[in-house]
Amino acid sequence: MEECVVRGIEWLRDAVAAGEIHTVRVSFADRLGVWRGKRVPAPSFLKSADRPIGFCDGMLVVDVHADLVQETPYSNYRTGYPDVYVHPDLAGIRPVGWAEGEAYVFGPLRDEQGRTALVAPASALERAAARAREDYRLEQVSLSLSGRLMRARDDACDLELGLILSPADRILTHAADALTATGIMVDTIEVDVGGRFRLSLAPMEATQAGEAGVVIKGALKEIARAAGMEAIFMTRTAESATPSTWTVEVGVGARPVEPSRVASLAEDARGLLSPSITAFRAGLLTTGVRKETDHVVVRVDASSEASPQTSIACAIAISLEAASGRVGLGSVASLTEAAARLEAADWLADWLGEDLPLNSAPLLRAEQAMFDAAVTDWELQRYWKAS
Amino acid sequence: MTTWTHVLWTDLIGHPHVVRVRTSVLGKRRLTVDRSQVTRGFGHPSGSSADDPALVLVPDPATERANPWQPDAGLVIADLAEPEDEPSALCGRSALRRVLGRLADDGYRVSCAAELEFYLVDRRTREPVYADIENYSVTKGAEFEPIMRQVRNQLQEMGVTIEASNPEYSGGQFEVNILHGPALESADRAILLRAAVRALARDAGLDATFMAKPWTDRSGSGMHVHQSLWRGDDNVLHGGHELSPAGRHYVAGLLRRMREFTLFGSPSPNAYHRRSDYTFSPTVLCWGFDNRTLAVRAIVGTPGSTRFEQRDASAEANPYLVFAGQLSAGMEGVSDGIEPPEPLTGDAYSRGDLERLPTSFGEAYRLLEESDAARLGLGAGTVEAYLAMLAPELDLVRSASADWERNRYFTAV
Repeated sequence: MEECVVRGIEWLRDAVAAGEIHTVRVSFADRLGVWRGKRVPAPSFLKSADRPIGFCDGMLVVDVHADLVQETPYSNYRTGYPDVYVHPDLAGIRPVGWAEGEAYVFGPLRDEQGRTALVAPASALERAAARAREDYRLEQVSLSLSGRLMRARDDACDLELGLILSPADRILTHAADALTATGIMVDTIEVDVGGRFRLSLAPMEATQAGEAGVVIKGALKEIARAAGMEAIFMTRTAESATPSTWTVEVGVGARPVEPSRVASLAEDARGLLSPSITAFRAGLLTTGVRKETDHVVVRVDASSEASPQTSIACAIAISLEAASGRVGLGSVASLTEAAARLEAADWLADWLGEDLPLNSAPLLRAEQAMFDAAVTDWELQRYWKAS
Repeated sequence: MTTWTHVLWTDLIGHPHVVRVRTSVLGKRRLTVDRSQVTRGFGHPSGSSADDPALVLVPDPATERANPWQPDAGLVIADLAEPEDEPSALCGRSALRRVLGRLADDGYRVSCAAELEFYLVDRRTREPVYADIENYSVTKGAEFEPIMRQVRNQLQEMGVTIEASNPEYSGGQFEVNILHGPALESADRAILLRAAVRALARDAGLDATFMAKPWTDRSGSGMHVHQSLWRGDDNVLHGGHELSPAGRHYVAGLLRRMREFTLFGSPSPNAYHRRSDYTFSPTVLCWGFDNRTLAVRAIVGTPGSTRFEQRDASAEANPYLVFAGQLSAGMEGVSDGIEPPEPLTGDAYSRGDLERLPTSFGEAYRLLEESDAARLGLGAGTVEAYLAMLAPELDLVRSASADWERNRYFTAV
């Protein structure tokens, strides 16, 4: 398949004139990295391409079911849920490699007065990446995503290493080709038993990697659904299952890094990296430090339920702070504790801005409260007859 | 020239109908519709008799367009006239024309856009096509692109420019944004959108509903009306970083008549279930800037984009009457030079001190019944006919035994 790069507005004009593109997805990602936006007819988009497109700002701080939580200070009924605007990045328009006739574009999110919506993971990543570039000359990160392909509702696909192509293999290969056509280079596809897979991207600039992460997850869901399957990114689908993750690798130069510092700082950011009950219960975050010939690489595994943009921003902050000798505040035992830690971790707010951590905290507390109030299947199985 | 032309007309409740006419006789042959068809409302006897004279369809040549539903036929939208060729009081489109005519006499024109929400549902179960909230989800939207893309394309073929579409704030709910334009054309576009969505959903083996509140625990479907007032090339609502004096007067007019005109935007008892606190449907009489809890949301931007969004109407309403009521109210405010209350900030739903919008069909019906402003604005005949058409709902809603009642009381009492 033809390799492609970002095409931009001139390409879009030509493609629309040639009848190749009919729809533009004007896009943003919410706090969990879900790809959201509006589908705009391409001719309408071209008529006023630089016109910002408005959305309800509450969508940046929704819970895992896209529901609103009133305790988020950024947006609630007291703020009135005003519009936030995507300003399309006209140089960043790309074809949607798996949906014929569609293109997509992301862009900065700003309010009516033109102020950047710092609560958006893309804004937090932009801030962290800029600081890493200026202060540490960090140019690129590596990103990979693991998940599961399932048939219907529960059955994992039969994916086995080394076997001839199964339908699921074809889905993943198609996804990788389609993403490449979109301008996102998938370097490797790993498959494992139980429907588990991992796609790894070529190293790239951090903000591009973050956007690519949003698109990859969306692409896999769309492509799987079109083939009658589901791409599942719930961190752990069974007690014994290997957690699904975003893995971010950050090169920190020749500075020595103490692995325990990375692990402790990751705990400070755990509310962002493990933002759900299932992610939290999957266990401690995995981190690591690897020494290459001339530099050190820090690895941070975030839940695949987390935002890739937030995960990358946190991984950058964790890596470079660990390399500078910072130590985190110790482990957290629940989403409630993780929320309090996000509010206390000033170093993280310095990197990401305070809006994203402070608005994530009430969402974590709300999620924990829902779980605490729920009667679980486990309780029913254990106590229903025995009591 | 196409062999056939579909002449589309809209009844008083806002449902479109089509008469298929050989194009060669269009304009030569008098087309009529039975008066009782126009006033059927939600499907009860209209009170018209077979002896009442039929209404005449008057195709509006300015609305001729391609017809994607039958490519070998044209499409034109018609007004309804009395046998003597006077505009009929039963024609919502003519009522809107009257309001626009008065505006034009004063040197104004209005640009409008209706934002419509609707559900795609399983035809057999009448349940939404998916359950979870997927607001603005690009990937969920992809599943329904075979329908939604056709909706956008068909409307585009009909000359209706679509700004965007997206899944809305409830499982199975969608929104389509139509580009603003002249008020009459924009109301036509709303009618065409509802027709296209219904037709394409049926083709896909689904149903679409614009019912205001189909489920207790899911979002209602609204018709948010964006409106700006122009004199020549100037948006007279725009006043730099704030509203102009005319803008303030206009919103004061919207508020002055909002309660008594409620029945135009909420024409069924069901619509009042949508109008409840913390649903993004307004419940108190107020306005302010870019706040989704308010009845009127002022959006102050560039001279071209400054506008009001009135948020109380439901998606099922007749857009001609909704527009006519709102524009008439706004212009009354401008003519009388009245001032609005202070713009509200914060959570309007928590403001127990503000006047509440009607909470029941009966209350809204009574308010319209007593409204001289409605008769003056839209025409007494139109208002009387509208009230007569909806009168049966008053009794039906009192006598109906709802599922909710059965579920709650059947075994409990």
